[in-house]
Parts: sequence; C-alpha cells; structure tokens
Amino acid sequence: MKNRIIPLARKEILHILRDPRSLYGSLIMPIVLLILFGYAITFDIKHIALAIIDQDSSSLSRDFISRVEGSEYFDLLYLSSSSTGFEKLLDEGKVKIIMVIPKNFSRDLSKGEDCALQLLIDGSNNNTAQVALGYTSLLVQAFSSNIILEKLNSKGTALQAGVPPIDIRPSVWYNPDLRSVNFIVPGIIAVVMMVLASISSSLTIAREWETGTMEQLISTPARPFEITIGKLLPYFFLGFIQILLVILVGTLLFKVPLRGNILFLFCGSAVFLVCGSGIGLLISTITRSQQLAYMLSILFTLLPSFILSGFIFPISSMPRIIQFFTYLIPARYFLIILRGIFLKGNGIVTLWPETLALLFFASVIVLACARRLRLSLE
Amino acid sequence: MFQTIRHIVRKEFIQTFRDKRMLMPIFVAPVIQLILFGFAVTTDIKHISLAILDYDRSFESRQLTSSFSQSKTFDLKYFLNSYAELEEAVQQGKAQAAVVIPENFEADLKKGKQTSLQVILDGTDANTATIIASYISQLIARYSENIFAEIRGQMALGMVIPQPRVWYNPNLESSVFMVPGVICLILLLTTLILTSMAITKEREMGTLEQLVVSPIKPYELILGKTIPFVLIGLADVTLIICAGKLIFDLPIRGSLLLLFGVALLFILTTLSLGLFLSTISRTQQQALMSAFFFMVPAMLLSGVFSPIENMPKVAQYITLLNPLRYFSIAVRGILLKGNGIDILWPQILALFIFGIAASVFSSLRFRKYLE
Repeated sequence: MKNRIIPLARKEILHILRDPRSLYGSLIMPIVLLILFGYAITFDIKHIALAIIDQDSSSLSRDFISRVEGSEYFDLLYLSSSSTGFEKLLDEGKVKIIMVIPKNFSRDLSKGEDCALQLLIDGSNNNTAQVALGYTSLLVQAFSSNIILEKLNSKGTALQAGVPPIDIRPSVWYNPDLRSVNFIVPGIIAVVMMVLASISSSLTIAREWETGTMEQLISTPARPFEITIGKLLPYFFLGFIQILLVILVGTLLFKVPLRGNILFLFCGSAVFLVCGSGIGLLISTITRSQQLAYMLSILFTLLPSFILSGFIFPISSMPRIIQFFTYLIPARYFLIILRGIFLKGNGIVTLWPETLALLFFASVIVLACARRLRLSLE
Repeated sequence: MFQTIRHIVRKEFIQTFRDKRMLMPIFVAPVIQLILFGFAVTTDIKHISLAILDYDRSFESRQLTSSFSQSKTFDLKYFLNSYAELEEAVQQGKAQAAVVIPENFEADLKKGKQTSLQVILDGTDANTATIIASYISQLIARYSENIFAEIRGQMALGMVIPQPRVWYNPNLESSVFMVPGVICLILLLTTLILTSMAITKEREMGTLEQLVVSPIKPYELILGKTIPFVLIGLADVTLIICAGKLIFDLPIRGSLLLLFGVALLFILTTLSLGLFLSTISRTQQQALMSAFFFMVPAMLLSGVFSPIENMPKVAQYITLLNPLRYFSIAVRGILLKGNGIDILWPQILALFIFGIAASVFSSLRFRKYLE
C-alpha cells in the first residue's frame, strides 16, 4: 500500500513544483497577509476628523477646543463660529463629528448651570461612531470635572481630593502593550491554513476530474483511499511549511511571544490540516469543476474561518443563532488553541476540550470523505 | 458583429449554467455572505464576560456591582472570592475582564478621598481589550457622576452634557455599514475571478485555439466573454440590495440608477483585470492565485472593513490606487447618505479613469496574447 501512496505523492509534488508561481504564491500569501494585518489594518480608532462650531467664542470655549486639539483621538479640521453650510461636511464625509458649542456655554457654566453640547455624528460606520462617541463623552467628562475642581478649589472645600472620585488602574495580561499583531498572528495561521489546505486540495482533485485523468487514476490498481492520501500528503507538508514560515516571521519580525509548547502546537496544526484538506476533498467530490470548487471553498472555508472563528469579530457579540453556527467551524477551536499556546502558555490541561473538538471534526470529515469517494467512484 | 458577440455570450451562459450547481455560488452565495456579514461582522462588543472580586462588601461596592450587572454591555458572570480564582477565570478565558474593588472603597468615597479600582483585562485580543477598557471607564465615569450629583446640587456646579445625534444610521447598526460593503466584495469576487477562470479554462482545455482560428475577431471574443459576467455581477447587486432591504432594512436614500452606473464603471476595471490575469496564467489554479494576490490587499486596503484614516500614512497613499476604495465610498454615499453626483464626482471620475485605462491596457494585451 505504501508503495502506491509514495509514487502518487511524488507525482503531486512534481505538479506543485512545475507551477512555481502557485507555489511561491501560497508561501508568500501568508506573509503578505501578516504584514497587511500587522501594519495596515487596525481597528483601534484614532485621528477622527472633527469640526467645531464655536458659537460662544469665549475663553472657556477656547479652552475646551484646545483640549480637543490636544487629544490624539481627534483631528480638528474645521473651526468656525457660524453654522452655515456645515452639514455638508458630514455629507461629503470630510468629518465624522461636528461639535456645536452653544452661545451661552461659558455663561451657563459660570452660573453653575448645566450646559448642553450638541454633537452630530456620522453613523455610517457604526463602529467608528460608537468609539468616537465614547471618546467624546470621556473628554467632556474630564473637562467638566476640571471646571468643578477649579470651583471647589476657589471655595476651598476639602472634597477636591476626591475629583474624580474613582481612579481606574487597568492592567492588561498576556499582551500588556495591547499590540494587535499578537492576536493577529495566531489568527492568520488558522485562516491561511484552512484556505490553502481546502482550496488547493479541492482544486487539484477537481482538475483531475475536469481533464478526465481521474478515471485513469481509478482504473489503476490504486485504491480510492490510497489516491486520497497520496494527493493530500504533499499539501499537508506544504501547510506545515506555511505554519513554520508564519511562526518564524511572527516571532522574529513581529516579536509575537510563543509561550507554550511548540510540539503541542504542531500536533494541533496537524489535526486542523486534516480538517481543512478533508473539507477540500469533500468539495471536490461534489463539484468536479474547478470554478465551482473554488467558489464553494470560499463559501465554506474562507468566509466562515475568517468571520465566524472569532479571528477579528468577537463571537459573543453575534446573534445567538450565528453563535450556534460558530460551533461548527473547526477554525474556532483551533484559534483558541493557537492563542492559548502563543500568548497564555496554555497546555493540554486547559485546552483539552478544543483539542477533542478538533479531533472529532477531523474524524467525521475523513469518514465522510471515504464514503463520498466510494460512492462517486462506483 | 453583434450576431457573433451574442453567440459567444450565449455559449458562455450555457457553459456557466450547464452545471446547475453553479447557480448556488452565483446567486445563493451572495445572500449567505450578506447574512454572515450583516449579522456576524460587528466590531462593537457586547456581552463582555466580567468577573468581580469585591474585597469591600459594602453598600457602595454592591451599588457599583449592580451598575455593571444592569449594563447591557457586560455579562457579570463571576463573583469571586480570592485573587487565585480571578487568575484562574482569566487564564481559562472565562472572564474577559475582571474588576477588583479594594477594601476601603466605601470608606474612601465617603471621606471624599480618591479610591482606586483595579481592572484586569485579557489582552489576547488587543482590539477587544481596548474597547472593554473604554467601556469600563465610561461606566465608572457615569457612576462617579452619580456620586457627585448630590454635592453638585448643593454647590451649584454646572457641567457639560453631551447631546449626540447620529446621522445616517441612528441606531448604529453594523449591518447598515456592512451591506454596502458586501455589494463591493461580491462584485469584485464574481467579476474578477470568474472572468479570469473562464478564459483560462478554455486555454486549459485547449478550446481557446479553436476560438482563435475561427473568424471571431479579438474584440468580439473579449466582449462575448466578459458580457455574461457583467450581467451576473449586476444581477448580484440587485439581489443583494433586495435581500438587504428585506432582511436588514437597508436604507436606500440615493438614486439606484446612479448606483448601477457606478457599479458598471467599477466592473469595467475588474473585468479588465480578470482579462489581464488570464493572459498571464496558464492554469485556472494560477489564475485564481494571481486573482487572490490582487484581491486580498484590495479588500483590506479599501476601507470596506476598517477605516482608511487609521492606517499608516504609506498604506493610506496605496489606497489611492485602489479602485475598490472609490467604489465603496460611492456605494455607501449613495445608499446611506443619499449623495448625488455633485458630491461623488471625484470618486466617479477616478473609477472612470481606472476603467478606461485598465480596459485599454488589457484588451491590447489580450490581442497580443491571442496572436
């Protein structure tokens, strides 16, 4: 049996080597993704474009404006005392927030009355809007307590020590500088491996069907099982090379800590690769056309492992039904394992439920493949 | 000439849909993607699982605890008894954040002395941790304000109260932001990849030679091969808009005619790119790989998911060369803001220039490739 698998695998390796562009592509792709996500894509929001309409023009309102200018979260782009034509700024997308300081701003505050600050927010990107809203209210609160503090000071009250009454001391574990690369790198490993394993395995087998060479393979004495293993083995190793590459670039270039056991990491990856290439194989037995195989791979592997795995978008914020679906995504479990190993230094003691889930998926997928393959060959 | 093109278009349609399963990726997939993106892609964070370690066990500390449990943002799941329990909860990922209330919390507040609150965040997901930190500080700020309210009343101390009004998306729903994004992505995916794969397929099967030796002229071949995907792309746009309206109540504030016009300009660019990729690929797999190489950076550096303003300067300049950037601004502008040509002309102009340049370049290249 071994004697048949090895020649089949060698043939597949020759196929891969004959097409260096696809080979380099699949090796460079993870690095490109890593660099893009590591440098360019940040979801933390700074430099929100802002316009202020200062109808008060008092020293207090100017004081407020200089506070806004001093914040790294806002870029004050327009400052005017009249409100004519300002709505257009939001329409054109030139600013995300317009603050309107009302006429009686300094008078009300000095009288000790509350004063409203009108905010117009571009909600088309809900996330930016939400974050901007949070920053604004923190900024306004700081400004208010400053005014109050000054007043208390002038009155000489003992309370001044308690402004603000509660001081927050955050401490961040596992990733103290909150570097996003630290959680991106493990995520990229999961996504890239799932995509490469499933797309390349589904495409190569669909190609054999398309060109009619699958029939030739079947008529040889090699059994379906051997054909499958022989075809998948090279991609399995390619997947491992990719993991190594991402780990090397991630730890050396991006300085992502690898705190846990690397052997456990490789074992988990192996099980995950079986899932990925198995799904690819399943797809190829259903479609037999490369175009369709690719489309289905995108639909069943790329998007779910990108969106539903918790890679970027937190699962706990999704609606219940969608949360339920995430349990069907192998990448979800693998991602927990990866982050646990990389950042928390977790071992099998903590991660056994996820490991078990991956093993379960892998065996179900392999069984389904064997069944489908037998059916489609008969 | 029209006769020839019509025949090729027909052939292409027959070939694409001969496999009934092809209907699924072309028409069912966009809807699935729409649902995924609309429901699942949200970077706002709800149901933060929180643990509280209350050393004080006083009235005031219970007040603070209940303001966490009443907030929709937090799921107060664990009341801990010791620091060791806290460590375990965070280590196992059960709690995303933990708040430690110190022993003299109430006493300090009563004395008017500042008290400190320790907040522990699981930084594994840096993005979530940042947002959780800001939610916690907002909650604490509101809480402090309440403590303060009494004193403020007595002493006549005014403060500034923000009154936000959100335009275009008053409930701040992420689906409103995402659905226009899905339109951009699906158009890119179907037109770019399907075109490049359809042409490489002919080459892989050896039927391209047959087409070349037939009396069909190159431009007829180009048009015949690309028109089906233009139609499929536009059908997908219609489908997504309808489904978006039905499922997510997507606002359509601007002119749909303008939207389709802009979509056509965008498709001109993506089809030309598909054509170009097919001239440099020998197999479908190569075509797919090359398309991926273009598509992934184009998607990430477009502002469809993450705002361009937050990118580093170099990346921001790169986005200027990305047609998807202009298209996504235009689609969101038309649908959400009701923008017209008066506002969107720079984007439309950019798409026009990209479209013309790309189609001239790639059809020249394709002609040469056929010869």
